Amino acid sequence: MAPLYQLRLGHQNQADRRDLALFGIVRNISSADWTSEHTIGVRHAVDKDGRCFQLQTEFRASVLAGDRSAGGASVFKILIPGSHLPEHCETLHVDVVNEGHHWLSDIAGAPASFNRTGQAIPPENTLRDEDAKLFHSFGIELASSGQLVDAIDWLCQAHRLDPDMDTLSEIRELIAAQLNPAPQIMPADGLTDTMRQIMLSGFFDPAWYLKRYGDLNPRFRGPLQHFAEFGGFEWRSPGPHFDTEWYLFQNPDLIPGVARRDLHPLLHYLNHGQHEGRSAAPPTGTMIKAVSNLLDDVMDLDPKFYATHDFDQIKSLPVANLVQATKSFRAFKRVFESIPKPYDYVVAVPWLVHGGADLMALNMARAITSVHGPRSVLILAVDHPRTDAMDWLPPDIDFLSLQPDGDLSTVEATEALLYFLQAAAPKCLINVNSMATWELFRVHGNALSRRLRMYGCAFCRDHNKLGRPAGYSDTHVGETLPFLTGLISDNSLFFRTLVDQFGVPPSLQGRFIALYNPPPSPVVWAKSETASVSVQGDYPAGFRVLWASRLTRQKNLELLQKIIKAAPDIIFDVWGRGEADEMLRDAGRSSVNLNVMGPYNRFDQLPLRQYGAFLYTSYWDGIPNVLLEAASADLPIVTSSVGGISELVTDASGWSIDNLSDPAPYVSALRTIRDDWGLAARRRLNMQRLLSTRHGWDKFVGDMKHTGIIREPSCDA
Amino acid sequence: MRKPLVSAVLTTHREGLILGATLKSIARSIALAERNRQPVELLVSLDRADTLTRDVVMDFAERMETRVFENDFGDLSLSRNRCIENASGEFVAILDGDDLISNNWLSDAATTAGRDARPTIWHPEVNVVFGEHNHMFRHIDAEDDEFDPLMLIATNPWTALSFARKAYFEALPYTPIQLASGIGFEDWAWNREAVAAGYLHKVVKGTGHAIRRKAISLAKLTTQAKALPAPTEFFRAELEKRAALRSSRDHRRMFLEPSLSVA
Repeated sequence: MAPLYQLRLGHQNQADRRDLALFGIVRNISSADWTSEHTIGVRHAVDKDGRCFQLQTEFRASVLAGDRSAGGASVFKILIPGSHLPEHCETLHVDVVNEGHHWLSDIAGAPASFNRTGQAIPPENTLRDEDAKLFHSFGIELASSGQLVDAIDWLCQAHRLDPDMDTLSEIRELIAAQLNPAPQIMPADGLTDTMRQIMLSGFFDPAWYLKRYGDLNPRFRGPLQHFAEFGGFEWRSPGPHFDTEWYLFQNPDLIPGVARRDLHPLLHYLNHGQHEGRSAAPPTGTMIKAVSNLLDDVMDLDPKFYATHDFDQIKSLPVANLVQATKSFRAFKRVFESIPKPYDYVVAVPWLVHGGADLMALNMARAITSVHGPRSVLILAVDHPRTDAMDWLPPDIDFLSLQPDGDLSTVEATEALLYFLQAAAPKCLINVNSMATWELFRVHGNALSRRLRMYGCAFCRDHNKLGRPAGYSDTHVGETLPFLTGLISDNSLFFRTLVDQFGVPPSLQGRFIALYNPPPSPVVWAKSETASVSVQGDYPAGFRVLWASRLTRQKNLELLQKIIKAAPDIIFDVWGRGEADEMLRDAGRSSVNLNVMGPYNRFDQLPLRQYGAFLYTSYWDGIPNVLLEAASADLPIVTSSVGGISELVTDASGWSIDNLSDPAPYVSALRTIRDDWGLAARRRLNMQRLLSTRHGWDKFVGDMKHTGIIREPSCDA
Repeated sequence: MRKPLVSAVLTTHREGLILGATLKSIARSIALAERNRQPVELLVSLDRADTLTRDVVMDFAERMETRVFENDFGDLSLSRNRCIENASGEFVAILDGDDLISNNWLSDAATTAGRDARPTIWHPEVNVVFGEHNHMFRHIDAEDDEFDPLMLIATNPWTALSFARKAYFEALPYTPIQLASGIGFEDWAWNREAVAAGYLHKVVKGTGHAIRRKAISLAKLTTQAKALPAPTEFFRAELEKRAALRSSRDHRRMFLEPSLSVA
């Protein structure tokens, strides 16, 4: 098996997921093993957090140049599409698959760790100078045949291997030889996005540009457009504060992209470079002088100074900016500067939409304000910009979005949140389904757990498209539970699942907290109103059953359709929206007893009096809010018994069916409700008792207090 | 010996022969300061040092007056604090056993600090990192327009090798590192607390430090341990002020301009 070479990627490839070009040299020991094509296997990728992804993709690369003689080297290049790589990929593990005696000396500047026989070789490429010359000569050959863009690729590789070759100056000269001072430009009709971004950056100075570049046709109008469409790619600078040539010399990894016109140097700086700490211009004269004095003083003290050439040219020394305007920092700064006061409680949500988890988050926030007063809690949307459910937000609860433009990756959102928590120093953080917050718990849980109380919420085991459990309870709870003050669920049955799955010992089980949600929009029948005719057991218009939820895979719509088909004597009204909407409408066209009613906003606004029962089907769930609403509306309930549902719907309070594929028990239950009004009434009464005791609002607040989620201010350390 | 103006505090652990270069660098800087009539005393902490490191220090101490403190802290912060307690100078310069300094560092810092009566922590203008990933960076001056105190949440703008009046270090002792508890980056935390306490961080023009970046270092271990700087109340205090200001504005509007409704 070929040994793996570890290839460390430059940070521009980590962040952008752009296509990655790998350049390589393979040295044949025997001319008999010469091959015109190499197969490179990209086996694993490791991201910034150390997570390893199996790629197992092979690429063929033709030999582009080389020497067939014994010990000769052949040069190749492969292109890995960015879509193959994980986000923030830091390292690739690569091997050369071909048979024969190959010695991989370098790929794109990465130190090779092994040779073919598995012997470790020093990280320094001992044939680096030879390899650099090979890349260089191939590049010059391409340049002289007019293939400038490809030539620059290879010359950059030569520079990477041997910076002393001054290949960058050669590239600059090749570019200069191609300058076009009077290109045919169609005047832009207004400002393009690129031109606007350049103009707003403050770096472009038109008078300076025209004066600096005297070769430009003096009648040329539109220096901004010239710089945007030509000048930047010709290594011209926009103004006195951004030095394009210096920027590219400092960051030669960008040069091939500029040559291909994929990458405008100034735009790269604005969109990426400044966030990565890259400098726009050479250091100031005083900085150069101070560095020069320092180097004069220390040069003789350490061989890392005097035995290398690394410090011969100060202007070539990379400059790092400690001050970083990263996206994470800007997101944190915007939120921190927006908040009017400190908060002791923060509830983190992914977004604010009309969902069950969002309702739980709002209930907890309302409970906190009922104890601590108005504006004592901040709801922070961390992962997405969606805020459809602002109508659910009471006026005394503050809300902010960490990323209103949705431009942060999970890693960036986690980082921004970390900054926010350190600065705002709340006493308590409750995470209701935010991915970045779970990641924060996973990565920084140990450090943060000593500074604030942290709670995670998990309601059931969510499943992915392949039907495998892949929700936060599977991906994050195992690693984070030791750092959490508590793990909250809307039912206690779910905790048994966790104990079974992860072997949670009794010492950690004490952190489990079951909080039973009140019904979201309780339906209160006025005493003076007569009960609906359907509740009394009389159905002149036919026995009508309500199904209302999201039309998604989770809700076992296959079973629903089977039930509808098996009960032609019952009418089913299906309310909701989702990915299965079209499928259900098609079924509705061929079933006389199915009405697809479309989406709804509030359960209590549905024509509830028409219905004799509520049907619920699902593959996995906590205690869904819609069941609480149906129970609150005094509808008899027939449901799949999954997750926490059987804590609410038992044989005493409804009909809970332990079968996810056979429609028969569901149909039988619905007919029982229709035909045995007395039994249905007794179970409805039991359900009302359960709602008022376990799902009351006062109990919810009381539970948050006695479990320590809500504390008196003096108790919070 | 004359009462020193500056106490140079050097913490060592197991630098071995590398320490020799550091001591030479410090000796040159002390010599320049002495020529400028700025006497400097050198205090060296040997904190769980190995034999080689101790030998290097003691050999140096034969040739140049040095006060040596043997410690068993296993903690950089506590080592520094101990030396600072025992310092006789009006000013203290914090130095590191891996790093090198420009010859003018001690003298120019003493001159600049002596002329500025404000409570200030002084830093070299530039840093050159060598060893791994050579690069340079400059320190930001807190009176520059680009300085934003909020950046202290995301980054440590200044290295630990600072220069200030001894009294300031005594008022703000370094906190111990507690990697197992997720607390690290003691110099970052110290810089934050100094800002919170109202100290300015400024630079001494024309001076520099050369910082050795090693394959294994405390900084890397701290990053791997996912530690954070010790918590600070500085930023939350800003929020308290913001809330108080808002409340006072609302109060004024309610009682002084009763015709306006409170926002």
